[in-house]
Amino acid sequence: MTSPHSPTPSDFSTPPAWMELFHAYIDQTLTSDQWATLETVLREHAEARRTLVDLLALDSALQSDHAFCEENTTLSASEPELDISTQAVIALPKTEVAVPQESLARTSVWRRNSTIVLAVASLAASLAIWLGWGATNNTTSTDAVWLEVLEVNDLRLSSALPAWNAGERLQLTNLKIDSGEVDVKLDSGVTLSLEGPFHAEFENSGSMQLFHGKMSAEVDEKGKGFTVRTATSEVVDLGTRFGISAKADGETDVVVFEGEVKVRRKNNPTKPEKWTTLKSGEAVRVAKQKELQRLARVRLSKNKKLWSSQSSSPNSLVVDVEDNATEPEFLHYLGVVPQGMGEDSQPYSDRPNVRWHPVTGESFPTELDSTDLVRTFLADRGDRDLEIRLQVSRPCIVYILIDDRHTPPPWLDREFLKTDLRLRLGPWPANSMKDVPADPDGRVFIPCTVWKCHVDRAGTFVLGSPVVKGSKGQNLMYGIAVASAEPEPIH
Amino acid sequence: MDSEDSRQIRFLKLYTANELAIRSYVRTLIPSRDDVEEVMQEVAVVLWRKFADYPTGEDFRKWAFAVSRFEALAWLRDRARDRLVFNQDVFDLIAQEAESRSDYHQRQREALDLCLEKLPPTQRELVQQAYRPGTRIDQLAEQRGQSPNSLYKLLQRIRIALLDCTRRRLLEEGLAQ
Repeated sequence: MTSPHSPTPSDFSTPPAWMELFHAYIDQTLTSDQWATLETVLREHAEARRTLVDLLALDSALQSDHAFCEENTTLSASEPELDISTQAVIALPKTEVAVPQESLARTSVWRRNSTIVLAVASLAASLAIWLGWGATNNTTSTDAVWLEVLEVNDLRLSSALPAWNAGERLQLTNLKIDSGEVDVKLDSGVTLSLEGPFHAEFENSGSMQLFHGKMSAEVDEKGKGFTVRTATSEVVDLGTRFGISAKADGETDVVVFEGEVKVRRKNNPTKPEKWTTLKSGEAVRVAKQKELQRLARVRLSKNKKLWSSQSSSPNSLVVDVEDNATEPEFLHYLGVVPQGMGEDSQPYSDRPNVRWHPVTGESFPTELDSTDLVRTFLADRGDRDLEIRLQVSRPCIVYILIDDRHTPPPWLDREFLKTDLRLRLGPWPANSMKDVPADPDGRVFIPCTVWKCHVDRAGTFVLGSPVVKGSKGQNLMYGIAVASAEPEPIH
Repeated sequence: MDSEDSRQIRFLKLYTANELAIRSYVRTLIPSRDDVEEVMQEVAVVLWRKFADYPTGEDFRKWAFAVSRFEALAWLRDRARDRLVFNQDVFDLIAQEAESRSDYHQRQREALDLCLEKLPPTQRELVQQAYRPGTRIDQLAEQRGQSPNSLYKLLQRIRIALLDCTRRRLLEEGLAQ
């Protein structure tokens, strides 16, 4: 397309007032009056239309090419860097941005082609699935992320394409879910449980950008290093199961179910912050311009990998649970699992392999089965000042399951009734408990008694420390279960 | 390979070859870059649905532009109550201009690679961050410790520099504006 004349560089100048309108249009900051002016300018001036569509095409290209590859590149000596301060189309004060020297020294290569390949491959793969093609079709690039759909539950994708089915294998970069849940497995060995509304972009099978939504990840040895970036944080898996959720404003919650992850804030893009390692049973919230904050309570589901750091639903029996820990380095969370109590259920959030078991030769007590489980953490076993505040929504029975080898703490003896119910807690490593012999397999199980207390109204119930003054030996932290004292409400 | 498979592959080849041009065209018609993806998804689906009617030998890009223009207009009309959209005559002028400059914009994209490499690293990083999907300028400004307005202005200056650079390069290659 050639215009009647070939402009010299000086012809590139566009009236500043026009450019101001164009930029405001692109940045979506136009006022109604400016909008009317812009329409008039575009209606009357072909040059204005040409410059605006060129700017919009540039904007589109920049959006398509948002991925950078951090590699060294060399500009030829004859090609000086662009100096935007000399672009005098709009006279603006020069903005000073402080950048560390190490960042200045790093150069980047614009990586459009691979991004385009990914984007195209994503569309092609979506269309391929939509059209019923198998994974053997070879028309898509192998650079995009392959994943296998493991399980689908009321999934609605944010596109006109049909929802996925379990067993499908597909390739994509960008994923938006309106509602429902889906479990997928990446070729890197990472299994993800995603819950809509959700939006993320896979950078490769080992990293992704989470814009908003909630997910949990299970990472095997092969997938170690799996990285999730949000607007405020970066989370790197060290071989584990963990959950992460991000809000549109960037606030990010990270919960470790098992293993370890490292997390750091991204408040300053030019100055990475130090990593914090989170272990099993620890959870933090990362928000803009704030220190990492402990998430004191996490709601979990019994059979699924779903979780939430939000308040309970109005029908929940256990509305909330919190403790009186204030140490900044203390990051353990209390876990609430509705109907989560039962054989092989997990009593401690920081000991994923330790479970509740029935006494040998007996079945799990019916009275306790499917009650709400509150996961404490073993780390609290020596805290003499511990208080756990349990908020319930209606009359209920609170059960405390405690090490049978030691004297019960006074608050338990005073307010609870010891039942005939018995459980075992373990396994613990052989020789870890000197006064309890290991079973033939070398594992140790601790006998526990069950105490209960009827709570006759909704409110907050305070539990104390497992430590008894003057007692010898190391108690274990107690476990908590809560059962409704009245029939479940009908909805 | 049966004719249905052949048609699917032909469509994918044509679509992928023209996807960037279609996306760029759609961007010129939709005020917010955040909405382009949604319109593109509609466009892709409609193109496939109508592909049976696509006359063999016709310019696919031109045909896709016509479909995109219709879809963009329908999308804007659906949202005209809650946001500002161009009047029909201005929309038509912009669409006409964008279509006539499609080849130029393809060359502009190629020139952009070199122009981006000429940006100082800090500005390249800023562009990367600003154009990452989901980025909000107010949040990015806060992270950088500056006001949103000053960040908007900085990005505007970078865009002008890039536009100017691409124009100069294409001019040097004998491609006039």
